[in-house]
Amino acid sequence: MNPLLDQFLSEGRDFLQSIGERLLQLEEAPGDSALMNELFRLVHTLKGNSGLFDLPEMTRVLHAAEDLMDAVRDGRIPFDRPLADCLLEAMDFVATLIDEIAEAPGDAPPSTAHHASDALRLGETLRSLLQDRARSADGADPAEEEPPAPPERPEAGASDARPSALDPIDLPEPLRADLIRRLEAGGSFCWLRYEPEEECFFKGEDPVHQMLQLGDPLWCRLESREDWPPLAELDAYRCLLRFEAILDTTPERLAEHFRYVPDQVRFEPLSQEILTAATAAEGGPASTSDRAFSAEAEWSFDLVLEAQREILALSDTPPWLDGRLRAVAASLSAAFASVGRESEIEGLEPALQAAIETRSPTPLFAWLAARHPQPHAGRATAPDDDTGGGSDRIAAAPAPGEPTSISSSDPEESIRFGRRAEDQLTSPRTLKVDQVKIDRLMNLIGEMVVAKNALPYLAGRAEEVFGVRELAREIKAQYGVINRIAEEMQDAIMQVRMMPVSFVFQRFPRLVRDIAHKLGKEVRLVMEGESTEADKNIIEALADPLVHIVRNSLDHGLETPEARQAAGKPREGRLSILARQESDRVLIEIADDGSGIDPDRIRRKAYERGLIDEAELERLTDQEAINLVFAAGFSTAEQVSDLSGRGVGMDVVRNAIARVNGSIDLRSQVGRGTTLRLSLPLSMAVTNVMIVESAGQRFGVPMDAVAETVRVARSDIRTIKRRRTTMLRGRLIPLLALNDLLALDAEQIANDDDELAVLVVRVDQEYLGIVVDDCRETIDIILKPLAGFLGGLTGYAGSALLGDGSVLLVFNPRELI
Amino acid sequence: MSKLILVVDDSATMVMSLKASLEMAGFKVETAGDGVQAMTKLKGGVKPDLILTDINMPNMGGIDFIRNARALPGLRFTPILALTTESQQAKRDEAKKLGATGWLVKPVGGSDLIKVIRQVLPGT
Amino acid sequence: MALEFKKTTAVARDLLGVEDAETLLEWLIKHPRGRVNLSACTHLHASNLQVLMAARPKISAWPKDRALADWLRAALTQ
Repeated sequence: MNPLLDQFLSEGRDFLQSIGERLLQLEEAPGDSALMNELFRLVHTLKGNSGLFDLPEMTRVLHAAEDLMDAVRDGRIPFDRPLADCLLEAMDFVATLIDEIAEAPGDAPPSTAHHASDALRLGETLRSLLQDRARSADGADPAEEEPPAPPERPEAGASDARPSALDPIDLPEPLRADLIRRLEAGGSFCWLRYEPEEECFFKGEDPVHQMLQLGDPLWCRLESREDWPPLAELDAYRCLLRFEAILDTTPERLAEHFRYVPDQVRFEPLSQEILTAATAAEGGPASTSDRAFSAEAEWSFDLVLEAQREILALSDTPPWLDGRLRAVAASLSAAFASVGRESEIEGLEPALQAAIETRSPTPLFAWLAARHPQPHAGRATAPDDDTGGGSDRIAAAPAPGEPTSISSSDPEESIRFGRRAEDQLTSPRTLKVDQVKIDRLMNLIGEMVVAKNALPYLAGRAEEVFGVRELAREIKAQYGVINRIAEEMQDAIMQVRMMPVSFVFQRFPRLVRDIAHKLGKEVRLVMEGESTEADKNIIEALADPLVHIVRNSLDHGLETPEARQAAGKPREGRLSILARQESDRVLIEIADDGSGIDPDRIRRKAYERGLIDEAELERLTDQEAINLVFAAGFSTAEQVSDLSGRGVGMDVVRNAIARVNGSIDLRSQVGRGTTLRLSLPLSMAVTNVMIVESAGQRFGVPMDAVAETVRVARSDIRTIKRRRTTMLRGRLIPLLALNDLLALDAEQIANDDDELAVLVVRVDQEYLGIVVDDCRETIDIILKPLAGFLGGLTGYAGSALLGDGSVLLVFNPRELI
Repeated sequence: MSKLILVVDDSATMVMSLKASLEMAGFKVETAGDGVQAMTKLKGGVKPDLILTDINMPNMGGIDFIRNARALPGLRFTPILALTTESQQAKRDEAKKLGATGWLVKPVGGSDLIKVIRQVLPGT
Repeated sequence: MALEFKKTTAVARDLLGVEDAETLLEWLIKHPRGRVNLSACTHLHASNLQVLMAARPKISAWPKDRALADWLRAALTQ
């Protein structure tokens, strides 16, 4: 899958989770503005992200949700349950899309067009909520209330029909004439004035860079808005520039270009009226020959002449050479006229004629040199388009090969940047690692433990077979070292696999809310210890049983508000889910203050279903009766509801917990409530097992289940009700032969004193003796579940590889018996 | 010489998308998940040629970040572009007032992004 | 360095950035008759331009980039 899409989906799920949580929290505290802002931000970001992909359905719904949230955040409409319901539904829809996209093959997100009608409906629901509420909230016009997402629009300015802002600019006469002519020919130009604000440098702006991007101006002026102070007092970072230019561009492009500083520019399309008005405005002073010409006029004059000189210097002789020569002559004539030197133009016409006749620029050159000696070698670029060919504008643009704005690389600078970037490579604090990689580490450490366990065997062989005690001792010492490292390593890997129970808990607020609504109950959920950690496998195994337990509590435990009130309890029921760590176990307690479990009802039911006989009906203590809910096929609900019924009872819950070596304890008081306590190992990766021998084979038994091992003399075994039993410290223990349980055709072997080895195991608070041939040492193993067709053998918890390379089958006493 | 761009956004998806576009155009990219992280980087010596920052972020949002970043001596003149959505005109104006150079409207396409960066950053 | 100072000439290379303006200003204050060579300068931040406009040093060479040179001339030779 495309990594960006992958990232989007995974982040999207996180966002949806957080959005759901915030919505529920807001129901509790609708006035919490921090929460509201956070919620808005989440929806807003998720919408923004969805826009990166072609997911119109998702974006549509999120957009509507964002607008709604925006209105809520601004206090335009109130936050309440129907609104939360609607938003939750919208988020569920988004979750569906995300799941669908995640499952689709290929790199690009699949089309979700088949959800278009749902998206439309949801979008409309959200919008209608927005409008209805806005209207009812303060009677304001909804059209005004709805945030209309104003389209990005170039600031007005260009097209405004305002009086011309074009000051009488001292356009050189030839340019003015040229512009008029080109306007007549259908050209379009803009006049621009840009006065960057004084602090603009402190906003990262570079007005020169902005101007340069507009291409070559036909005319430009750059001056300061104030007189410069003495250098010593100059503040180089207070921008006082004023740019003016006539550009071959459109107002639209200028509006777009200056969209960040619309208040600092003025521009308008150039029209003939403006140009001629400007002429009229300054016609008087310009024609008085005794007027001292401005420096700029001088400069422009020089530029024009220099440009003509350049044109004349062109060595080619195109067919339009005549036109070019005439244009030069016209420009020269106009230029001299503009500075009051009309009298000097007289000799120009003959020079032009001579040039045309000889098809050579030399006569014009000579005329020009006589009147205006070349000032300096530098190349001036005044507007020089009056050369007949319209294509000259294009030629004037920087050629592609010209190094305009491509900064040549400064090696020193680039090295500096390179190092800088690497130096600052701060690693993120958390890593997201693929589960597969952790599993691989787990497997490796498993192999390490197995390999390490081979060392004591080796030491034994060194001593017994080869008779080198010294070496045996050294091997054992070395084993001690490796053992310690392996244990630490194992512990470290375990730590990596640890996950907080919040992974499971986080779904409860929504679950409880939804179910409680559906059942018409009022429930306050209290969760504690969400950060308690356990192995990933344990946490995952916990998910379904916990959901089941919570559903049971809501369905059967907690009463309706009316029933609670009648019983003198608060209308709102309380459901608490607490987690904490106790030594190497995780304890999870689910408690409600509901009606509790009535032991008599359980007894009756169990009896009706044939789970107990009449004698037991009498004999069972209340606690024992309550524990009957764990019996297979027991369902306490009078009616099978659509929530927790369907025949899946607490027996399934108990078995699921037992599979990860957990236990479950149920306490209940009629009228007061029910408490379920789960106890789970922190980790299930390493199992401490006892090795037993039976019928010449070795088996493992998880130490969790082993209460003790004893030798029982054959003479102490009595047969009561066709079951062999023995007394152990005053307690009657039933005995079962392992060979019988495993259907091995062999008698259990007693030792020389005719004593049988008995493994006392505890299953559901009951003690039971399993007769084996011999009990051996205990070892740590990495238990692997049986796979393939062996997986169906529930009597075995799994298998493990031993240090000598043999395979140990580990049985599961609960299932075996 | 490749320019360094600091991308500040709380969404890892957005960061990934922007980073890919920028790197494809030859920029170096540093990233931060919120204003606080970005400030830490800047104070730690990262000197970007341009900053792209989201507005809505936890811990320290874009508006505060722009204000704080501008107060750092090395960042007085650094171009800063705010990443906004079409409905955030008010935020854009505020960002601009506080020292942003300009803004982009999300979702930002790769070519638009580069175009705007070239517009504000000389020598690219 | 974008700015290199010879005895009587400041030589600007590549991109004359906003931070360079202060350096340029200081040098021009100390060298009132200093010249500025911009031939290798590809871009010059507006702040540098302000310094040049206020100090009016002799520009011994204009940038090769024509558009930039045009604007600089407009600002400095009027």
